[in-house]
Amino acid sequence: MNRQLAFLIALLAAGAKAEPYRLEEITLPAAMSPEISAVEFSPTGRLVVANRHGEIWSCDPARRDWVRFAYGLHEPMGLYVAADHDVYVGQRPELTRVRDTTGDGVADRYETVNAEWGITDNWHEFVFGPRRDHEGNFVLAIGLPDTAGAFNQLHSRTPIDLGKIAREAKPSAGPWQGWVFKVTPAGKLVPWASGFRQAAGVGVSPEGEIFVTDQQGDYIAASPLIHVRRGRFYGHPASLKWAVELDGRKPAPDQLEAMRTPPTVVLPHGSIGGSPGDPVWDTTGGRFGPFAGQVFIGDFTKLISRVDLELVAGEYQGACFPFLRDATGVAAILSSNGANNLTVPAGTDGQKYFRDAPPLQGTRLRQGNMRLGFAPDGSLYLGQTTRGWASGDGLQRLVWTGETPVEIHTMRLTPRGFALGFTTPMDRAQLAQKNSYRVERFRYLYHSAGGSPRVDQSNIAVVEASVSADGRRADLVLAELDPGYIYQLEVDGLRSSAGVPVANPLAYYTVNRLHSGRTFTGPLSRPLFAAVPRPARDRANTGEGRRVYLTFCVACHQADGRGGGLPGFAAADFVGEKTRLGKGDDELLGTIASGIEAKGMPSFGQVLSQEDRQDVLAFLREAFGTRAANTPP
Amino acid sequence: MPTPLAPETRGFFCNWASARLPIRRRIFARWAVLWAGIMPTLTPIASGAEPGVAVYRTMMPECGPSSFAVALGPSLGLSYDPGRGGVNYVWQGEFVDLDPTWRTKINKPAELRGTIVYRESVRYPLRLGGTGRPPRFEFRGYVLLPGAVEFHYLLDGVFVREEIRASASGRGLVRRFQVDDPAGPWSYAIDPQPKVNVSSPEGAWNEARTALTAPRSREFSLHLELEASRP
Repeated sequence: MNRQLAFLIALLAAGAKAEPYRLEEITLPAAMSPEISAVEFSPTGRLVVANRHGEIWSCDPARRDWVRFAYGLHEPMGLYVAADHDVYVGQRPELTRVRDTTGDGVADRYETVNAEWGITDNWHEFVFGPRRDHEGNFVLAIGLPDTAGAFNQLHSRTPIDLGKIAREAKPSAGPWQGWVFKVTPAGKLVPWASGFRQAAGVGVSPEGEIFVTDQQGDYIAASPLIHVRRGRFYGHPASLKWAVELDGRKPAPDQLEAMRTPPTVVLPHGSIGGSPGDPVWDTTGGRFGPFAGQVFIGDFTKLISRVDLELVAGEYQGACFPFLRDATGVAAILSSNGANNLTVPAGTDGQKYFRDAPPLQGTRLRQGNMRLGFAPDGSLYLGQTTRGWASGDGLQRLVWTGETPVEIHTMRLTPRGFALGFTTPMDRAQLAQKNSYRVERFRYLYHSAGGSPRVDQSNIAVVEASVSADGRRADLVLAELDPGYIYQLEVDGLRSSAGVPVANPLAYYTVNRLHSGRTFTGPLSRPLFAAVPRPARDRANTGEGRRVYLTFCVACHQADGRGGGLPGFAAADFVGEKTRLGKGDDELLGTIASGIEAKGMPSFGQVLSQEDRQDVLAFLREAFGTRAANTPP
Repeated sequence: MPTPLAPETRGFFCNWASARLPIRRRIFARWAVLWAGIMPTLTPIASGAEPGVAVYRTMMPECGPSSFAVALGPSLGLSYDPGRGGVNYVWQGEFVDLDPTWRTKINKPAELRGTIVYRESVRYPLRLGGTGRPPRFEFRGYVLLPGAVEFHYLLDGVFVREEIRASASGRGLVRRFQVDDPAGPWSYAIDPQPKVNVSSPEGAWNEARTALTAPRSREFSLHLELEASRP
């Protein structure tokens, strides 16, 4: 009886506990397209946004007195606000300085700063940035075009062989497509690094280092955060067409492997989103919570993730964590089983990826979180655009309420494992137990196929766990620690000293190198080990299918099964369109294995085993369907 | 602080509110407006300068990538090409429907809502310094002026301002060129343009009436006037 009473009191206390973050909707003027494509603040604190219709609007964040500063730009995706009346904008054809020289608050001068990159009218040649580095250079990136769209164009400003492009599987239609580059204050373009597919988020760290995010797809196994260093190549070979030193030569696959710099931090596909946008650094000095100096990344899925970087043997690498995810989708997926996400036991297979979502009151986090910006008051603004891939554009902001979240604060590499830092004192007894930690590791393949399965996956034993006196740090010694792997850490059972569970008990550390400097020397395009076959079974495992769904499918089809999702994917709505799951098992299993190229669905035949495909289909039918199609009514 | 833009100052075809309507309702709404005879008199978009002048950079049909759509008045538009330089074409009628460029991820060029009445050749037609070869054109931006737009560019490194505004009649346009450092005479190649009168107060036609030429000058203008019989 006493235990029940204590449990009830604890439950009530947890229910009364304030959430660490509050999500707010920013109302936009009716005249403004809500496809927000840039979010910045001026030196005087004005909120300045761009949208994909080509407008720039600004307001006092407190008064929301929106005014349109500029219009008529060509799909701007980034701003640098030098002053209230002086804005640099990255638009499809050029970097432009937009100024109000008459003092009426409306721009009248649109000055070309640089337009040295090639463009066609292909829809996928997005230009990202500018950010500004410490030398005053503007940093931008251009994405690769998409052969699903047309290349019809006249009067190119750089020579473009349209016939040749049409024959290329992975084109870079004009100079510097697939590159990150700088534009000097004098307006000169300086190519910086190559190998990008669609670097949709450009950032400059407080130290002046350039970082970008890239998009999962061909040659990009999972979306990464990349520290961009001059002259390096980051994986996608289409950009090498413009590499002067190659003089038109196409490197062979083994040469590409040798040339490639691995991603700084991999954001595992599915569990840490699937289509990242801006990386922004918490420079709020503690006004956004306990994560000062860390990186926040928006994602097209309903997710904001967090990255903790460190220098190891001279190169950045680090860990990523879920930070904020929409909770209502989780409720939907679980309600199909009659469960509630708040009552699911920790560690239950499948829910582990989504139990991390702080249950939000009121406003839901939307999709399309491609643009992030910290306000002078320390809140984080989220600009959302979803055109053609989903719905739900707009502007939201995330405010720290002052309540310290219980989180893994840092995950750092040590000579024998990892050191975990926590935002609050933790239960020391739990921290000291080796079985409080579940560690797996896996690799992704570097190959031309879109995405990659997890390969060489194995559980790693924690052989020692030592705890600091203040309960804020745990040092784990692992049985195996090697470069070239992504280490997945789950700490489902951990509680703070006050009994509060870790809000996001999941982390992935990308080990590119050890402190000794040792790096991975094996093949990048194939597994080291053959997959272990599963034992025979009588029927599909829906629990395992949920795990597969939440790892590989959810980024496009969403947690509630209603589709939308990633760029390039028009994902099926299993809930709203009943015919989707009304097909027979053989047809649906074939679709999962082969994909639907025309609709952008990748093939999972090489990614998922036959058992995995059967499991995920069984889960789809259980969670979103009304009955198994092959089952007689 | 400036006055916020009133939503109703935006034209129907470029109005976000209309773009958010379901496609059937949008089509119906457009036909309803056309049927009511309102559309030809619509001011396309508020420009930030004077009503009736609007400048959009977008994908225009039959143009280089990221060309301009410029509305000079309620029934006169032109496309300016910052790639090759110069006017792609001039049209009479409504402005453009930008919705196809915004509607889906794999977007399409804007739809012209009028009749093209003037076109320029592919190569940039202005020659400076008495040379016959096409100059190297480098676009440098534009300025919104009351009732006009002024494009800036370099021709073989010489800075040129080209102001474009509707003519007094509203049935044509005036292009005023200012050249920072003219090295010699200028000439402007003209393709034969039926029912469009092209003239220049400072220039004179050559014998074949294929070009206007004039001595060295820092300023000159080109007048394009549509014949009254055009619709």
